[in-house]
Formats: sequence, structure tokens, C-alpha cells
Amino acid sequence: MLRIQQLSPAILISSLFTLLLFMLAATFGAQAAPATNTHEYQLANGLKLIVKEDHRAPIFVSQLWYRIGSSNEPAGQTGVSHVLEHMMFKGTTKTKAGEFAELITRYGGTHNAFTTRDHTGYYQVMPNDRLELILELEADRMKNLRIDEEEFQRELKVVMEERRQRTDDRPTSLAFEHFTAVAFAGTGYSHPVIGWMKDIEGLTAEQAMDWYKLWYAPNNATLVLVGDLNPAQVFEQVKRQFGSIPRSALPQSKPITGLGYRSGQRRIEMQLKIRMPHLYLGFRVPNVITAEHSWEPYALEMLIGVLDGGFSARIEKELVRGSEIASSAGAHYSLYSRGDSLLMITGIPNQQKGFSLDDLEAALLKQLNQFKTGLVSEDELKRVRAQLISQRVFSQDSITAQANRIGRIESLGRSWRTLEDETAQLQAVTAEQIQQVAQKYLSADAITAARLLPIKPAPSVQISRSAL
Amino acid sequence: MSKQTKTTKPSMTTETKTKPRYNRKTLNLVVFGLIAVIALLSLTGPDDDDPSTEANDSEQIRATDLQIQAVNRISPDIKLNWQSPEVHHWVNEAGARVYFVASEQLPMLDIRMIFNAGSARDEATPGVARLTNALLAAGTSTLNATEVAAGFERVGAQFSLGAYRDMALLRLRSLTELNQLMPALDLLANLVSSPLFPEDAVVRDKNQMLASIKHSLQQPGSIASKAFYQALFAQHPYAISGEGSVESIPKIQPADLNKFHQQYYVSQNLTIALVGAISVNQAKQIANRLTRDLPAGNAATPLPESPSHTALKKHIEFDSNQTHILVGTTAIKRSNPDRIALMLGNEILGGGALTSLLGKEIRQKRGLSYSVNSRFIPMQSQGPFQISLQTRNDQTTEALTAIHQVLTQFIDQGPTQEQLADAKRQLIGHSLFGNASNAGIASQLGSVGFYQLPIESVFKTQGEIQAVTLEQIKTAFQHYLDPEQLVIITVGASTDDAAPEQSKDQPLK
Repeated sequence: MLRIQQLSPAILISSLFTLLLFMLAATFGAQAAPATNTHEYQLANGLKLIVKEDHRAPIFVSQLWYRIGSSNEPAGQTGVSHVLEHMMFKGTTKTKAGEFAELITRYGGTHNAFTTRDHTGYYQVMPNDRLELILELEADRMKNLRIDEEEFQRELKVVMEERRQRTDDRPTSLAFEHFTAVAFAGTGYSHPVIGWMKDIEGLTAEQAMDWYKLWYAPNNATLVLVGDLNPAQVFEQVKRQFGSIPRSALPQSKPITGLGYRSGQRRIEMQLKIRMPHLYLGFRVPNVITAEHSWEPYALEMLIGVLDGGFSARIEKELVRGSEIASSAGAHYSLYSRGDSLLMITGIPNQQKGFSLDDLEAALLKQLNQFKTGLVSEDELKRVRAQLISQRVFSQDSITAQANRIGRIESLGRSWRTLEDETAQLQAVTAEQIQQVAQKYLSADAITAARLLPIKPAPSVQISRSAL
Repeated sequence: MSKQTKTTKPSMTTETKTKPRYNRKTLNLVVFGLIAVIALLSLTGPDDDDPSTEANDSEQIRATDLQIQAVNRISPDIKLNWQSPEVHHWVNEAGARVYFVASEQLPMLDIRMIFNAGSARDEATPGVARLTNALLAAGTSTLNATEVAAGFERVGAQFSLGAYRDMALLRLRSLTELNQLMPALDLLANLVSSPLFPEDAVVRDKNQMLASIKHSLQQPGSIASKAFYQALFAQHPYAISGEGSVESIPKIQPADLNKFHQQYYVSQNLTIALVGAISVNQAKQIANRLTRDLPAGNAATPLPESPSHTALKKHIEFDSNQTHILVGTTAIKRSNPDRIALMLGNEILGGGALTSLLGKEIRQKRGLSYSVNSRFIPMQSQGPFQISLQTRNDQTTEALTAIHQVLTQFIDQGPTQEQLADAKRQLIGHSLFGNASNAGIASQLGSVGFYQLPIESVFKTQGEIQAVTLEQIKTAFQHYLDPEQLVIITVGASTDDAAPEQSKDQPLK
């Protein structure tokens, strides 16, 4: 236990000032050189390895990303990437079904896997002296997977249950699935990651195996390790475990082109088991991967921040609290995906105050219009910039979040260094640029809109406005 | 398989058990469920809860059967030779207990101010602790709610509030960049010392709490939990729910909030946890700044001991397909030295993994439930031990029988050496993960400070876990759990099969 330092009265009175002095004297090395602890390697067979040192505790996270996801799936076989992900835990020529999970647990680790439109990933968190176990297990299932017919049929049932639970029994998920299908019509983004139920029902073990042979190869994978590790040693171990796996001739990824940015309005209306009506508005917009001009995605990110970056942002201030047209509303935009992103605005009209979906849509479109006709204020720019830059620092607190960011962007074919440049990108965005992206992409003839209507009239439960 | 409940590991800290109450999106869940879908669908893989990740025969696989070479070279036992960071602790000039860990890696600082001002202090007006906490950000003498929020958002800081049964807390995360940190610190200090509790904000938040109470009265899980705590704690402050009741909330006036604030939001009743890229001296300055305008006051008086209870079975009729089952008893305080032994035993009995004894019997063998888990919730006074699961209404009796059987056998026989070794590695792995982020460390510092535990327990838990013996677990379980003296709450639609012999309470209206 430390003793309290005696402070002079002057310091007590103006501790704030003193604090300022202390702070000025401090240096924050982490900010000056954030990238030096990240190391990049590539094996002869094409496997990419990124090791990021984080020595706060003697553990590490391993994430193995394959560049294959639902957007590459052929019609009629949607969901095959995800089913394959499940089968990756069901045994290889070296391991029995379930053994992978048993070993991780027995060695004090946790693990998980995920499938997205663009990727399939596998990850573990373990004490740092057992990297070799993870590498051997992952290398094994990169080349030696076995798919047993009986296991496959059993797993297919699990996946169907998963679909029922996550989508079919959740009205807003179901609505979102349809909304996406319309917004991305004609592209690999139009079908759900988990697959259409009819497709899942028809999947075969052979199709899953073919999918595995086609895409699971070292030259289609990125291994990201973050934690208390020695990069040079790690590289040697990775070479030892993965080096002998041959590269394969990968097929061309299906492009996500489809319709352009102004392809006409599309509107759907759904009757669902929900208590309140919902509105979804979407616009196809470029992102870091697809943008022709590299500043555009960051201008869009700032625009979303002005609209929905907290309690003092426009949606909360003007629509939820001010006019009270929305009982809630929000905006969302993702910077990274293989194909274009969907900039989304969603909301629930404040029925207590007598507002309808029409009122809400008009108010939201008016908000968007303001970005086209006027410039966002300097105060708003400053706030959003501060928030977005801080969030990027905060997101590095967790080793898994660090690995996620690196893995995702590397899997999309961009360097992790892109992330290091983002602060500068955000600093450079101007009010005029925000206006330009609004004019270019958020036009009424590019909108996809969905209205979710309750089957029964809303019950009388009073839902008040946002917190505080 | 269903996905409605994600079993989480028993947390080493109490604070993380409930969601923070201050969140501008609290009631926007419906809309933001949608955004969650984007994330969800991008995470449709097997996880700890997913049967696909488990062997169907669930037989333990041992090294001799394996072709994986690494197991011959790496012992599963976790070596504990870690140079953990130093924990600094002092009582500052105002009497607040301060805990600090320097973490230079990122230019950021996490601050938690934790007051002994949770809903256990509600007394005659349930809900007052939560309302007081939530309304700290509703305005000060110079700023309205929007300006408060804007004050943090402008400098990119993240601020949140939360009130639970024991703790009421404020969290701040900021960059250490001066022009960002300083305004955030000033604002935090201002909020906590000089809240205004404006009339309109009080009305709005009261309405919101009423809406939330009404909503929870339609949720079988909430109904079960409330009934469980009422049955366990009777007249004890833990019996009441922190969200208040439809009777208590309308009565609360701004004056009540002021009074509560003056009594409990005082330096002597405060723990401050700091983790980030600052020096010890800076940490001292910051802690003093935060308490500068707070009255010293007094520490809250100790809560009464939790009462003992007899066996009780209560069924609440509810129109649902599944019955929610809660089985448990009062167990231990957070400061109880048997805590680690009990947590290890619980990991084996019904902790997160599907391979727990309850998981194997209830889910894998009998297919009665998608998720079943058990946990201890140690608090200031003796907190609950609880087993929870949901099952189709007509399977309720079978599930209760199975729970009783597994629990009785475990208490009688204790774990095997092999189960214990696995559980130790799991808990050590989790505790290391908790030490790997500033947020994780801050949460533990807060817990250690609030419950006045030795500071060694932040980074040295691994050693304590390693030292636990089979006998200790068996003895502890036998001491704290009596399978014939449990409180059993069921909420669901009764069927012929499950016709409960006990009184049927009507759902609360």
C-alpha cells in the first residue's frame, strides 16, 4: 500500500492546474509509434501471417481467416460456407469429432468460429505457451478434414434449428434478410449467410467437401496472432506446421457488382409479429475496399457520426427529443466489405405522439437532404472526429478486437497498415466532402425502403423515449 | 438448438453481471436488434454453447488416443511465472479508496467511480438507487442533459452509468491527450458532485422505469428471477428489485434523489479504479480532482446478513411454451475465502461449458434444454447460488428431478481429480483473459476495492485457483448447499405432466 503524498495547499486548490503540468510532462509513446509491434510474414505456399505483440498478460488470440464466405456461394447451395464451418469441428484424419473443442478446453482455452459474407474464421484464446497446439490443430484441419455422412446430416439439423432460432422466429431478422435481398439483388450479398432454408435442407456432405477442397488452402488464408508472443519464434513455428501444405489453384471470386448506385427505388412492406412499425432505409455506397476515391468512405463514416454519433447527434437531438417524431432511430455504415456497403437508417415512429411511418420517413429524408443542401458545422466535425479517432484507440484494448480488425482488412486484400492511416484520413475529411458524398450517394432514386407492420395493432404498453 | 441465451462464464466480478443502465439506446433495442443482426449473421458459427463443437459421446479424450503431436510436448497445466503489473492502492485525502494500474500500451485511461449505493440501499422506496444513478447525467447547475452528453462526446470520451444491488458506478474512458482528458475529468467530477435532478428529467426517467417494469412483467425470465430473490431474501434488502415497482416509482420525488445522493455519493463511500497510460502521481492528482467537490460523508453501514430459508417450491402460471426454472439458495459473500473452491466446483457442476455435469445430464443425455447453467453470485452479504434452465412445459418435472439428482450426487461425492484439473485450467485461462485488457483490469480493481479484498487477488488469482484441493471443494459444497433445502421457482404453463402440487400464484398484473 502506498502512502499519500503530502500536497501543498496550492496544489490542493488548483489540482487541476497541477494535473495539467504533470500531463504535459508525460509522453505517450504508444500514440507516437503504434505500428512497430506488428510483424508481417508470408510462407512460400502463400499463407499470410500477421503477429501483433501485446504483452499485457501471458495469453494470445489466434484467428485463422479464410477468404471464403456466403457471397461466393452458387445459387441453390447458399449456406454451404457456414455448414462447412460447423463441420470443421467434426474431425479430420487425425482427430475425432469434437476432439478439437475438447483439447482447447482441456488446455485452458476458449474458441469460436464465424462465417460472414466475405470470410470464414476460426479463433482461440489460450495461455501463451501453447501456441504450437493451436497451430498443429489448425494446420491439420486446413488439409485433413473428413466429413462423415452421419455427422453431416446431424449437423444440418442443428443448422436448421439455428436458422429457425436466429431468423425465422425473429421478425426483425427476417425482415432484414428480405431487405438485404432486395437491396443487393443480383449479387452474392442478396442471400443470407446462414442460407435459405430450402438450400440448407438440400446441402450434401459432398458439396461441403467440394467447397472445402476449393477454398481451404494456405494461399487463401491469413493467420493473425495477437498477444504475448515472440514474432520471430512464431514465424518458425508456423512454417513448421503449415509449410508443407501445398498451395492450390484458387477459383476466381464471384464479383459483387450488380446494380449501380442509382438503380431506382425499391420498396417492400411486410406484415410481421412485431409490436411497433419499423422503417428501414438503405443506400448502396462504396467502402474502403470498393471506393474509387479513398476519402469517400471516411466522409460517409463522418456523415453517419453527425447523424447518429451519440446523444448529442442530430437524430437524437432533433428527431427523438426535438420533434419527437421517432421513438428511436439510428444509422449504420460498415467501412469494410468485399462489395459495396449498405448505409442504413432505421427507426420506429413515435406513435404516442401520433407520428406515422410516413412522418418518420419524411423526417429522415429531410435529415439526409440537409447534408446535401448545407455544410455540417465545425463543432459537429470536431465531435465526430474525436469520437471516431478515440474509438479506434479504444478498440485496441482487447486482443480479440485487435485481431479482428487486422484479420478482416487483410482478408479483403488490404494491408493492416490501412488501419494505421485512418486517423489521418479522418482528420482530412472536410464539410464539403461530406456534402459531396451525400449528393452523390444518398439520392431518393437509390433508396431501398422496407416497412415492417405489426399484424395486430400495437398493445398499450407505453414505450417512452430514449434513455435520459 | 436455440440461441436465446448465451451462457457466459461466471464472472470474477459482480459488476459485470448486469447491463449498465445509462445507455442512450436503452429502449432502442428493437431498432438496434437489427444492427445486431448484421453482427449475428456474421457470427453464425459454433461456440461454447453450440453442440457442433462438442463430441456427441462427450467422452473425455486423453493424450494416449491422440495423433496431435503437440500434446506430447506441452503439458496442459498452466505455468504461473507471469510478471504481473503492480497494483497501487491508497486512500486519498478525501477518504476514497483508490486503486491504480499503469498500462502504457495505449494512450487511454479507464476510470471507474464505485459507490456503495446500489439498490440494497433503496429502503422504503425501491428504485431510488437506480434513478439517482441514471439521473446523474441529466444535468448540473450549469449544464443540461444534452450539454452533459455533448461534453463527453465532443472529446471522444465514453461515459456510462450503472446501478446494481451492491454497487452504483460511473465509468469513463478517455484518451490521455490533455485537451480531451481534462474536460472529460472536469465533467465527471461535476456530475458526481453536483447533479441537479431536474423535474422533467425525473418524470421522464420514472416513466421509462415504469415502462421497463411493465415490460419485465411480461417476461417469464424476469418474473422467475424476481420471485427467486423474494423467496431467498424475504425482508433483506436484496429481496427487492432495483428497477422498483409500479407502486414505488410514482412516489419518488427529486427530493428523495437529492437525499440519497447526499448520503451515499460521498468520498468515504467511494472506490476509484484507474487503469491507463498515466503515472502514479497523475493517478493521485486525478483521484483528488474527482473527490474535490464531494463531501466526505460516511461509508454506508454494513448490510444485514442474508437470512436463511427453508425448502420452498413456487409455481407461477404463465402462458409460454417453455417453463423457466430457477433452483438455488443463499450462499456466500464476496469476501468469503471459500469462493475460489466454490467457483471451481461450480465450473464442474454447471459452469459455462456444455461438458459440465448439468450440461451432460440435462442437455446432452436427456435433451431437456438448450442451455443449463449454475452459478454463485457472491455479494456484500451472502448472495445466491442458482441453477437456471428453460424447458418445454411438460418436461419440467423431469428437469427438476435431473437437477436434484446431479446436485445431490455432486455434493455427496465431489469432483474427480481429472475434472478438477480441467476446471482449474479453464478458470485460470479466463482470469488471464481478464488481465489482458485495461477494461478487464479496471473491472477487477473496482471489485477488489468495493469488497475490500486484498490487492493480491487482482493478478494472483491463478495461484489461488491452482492451490484448491478436491477435499476443499467437497467440504465447501457440503457446507453451503443442502439439496433438500432449496428454493425452486417455476414460471410457465402447467401441464398434466407438470401439475405442481403447490399453490399457483397468478402472474403479476
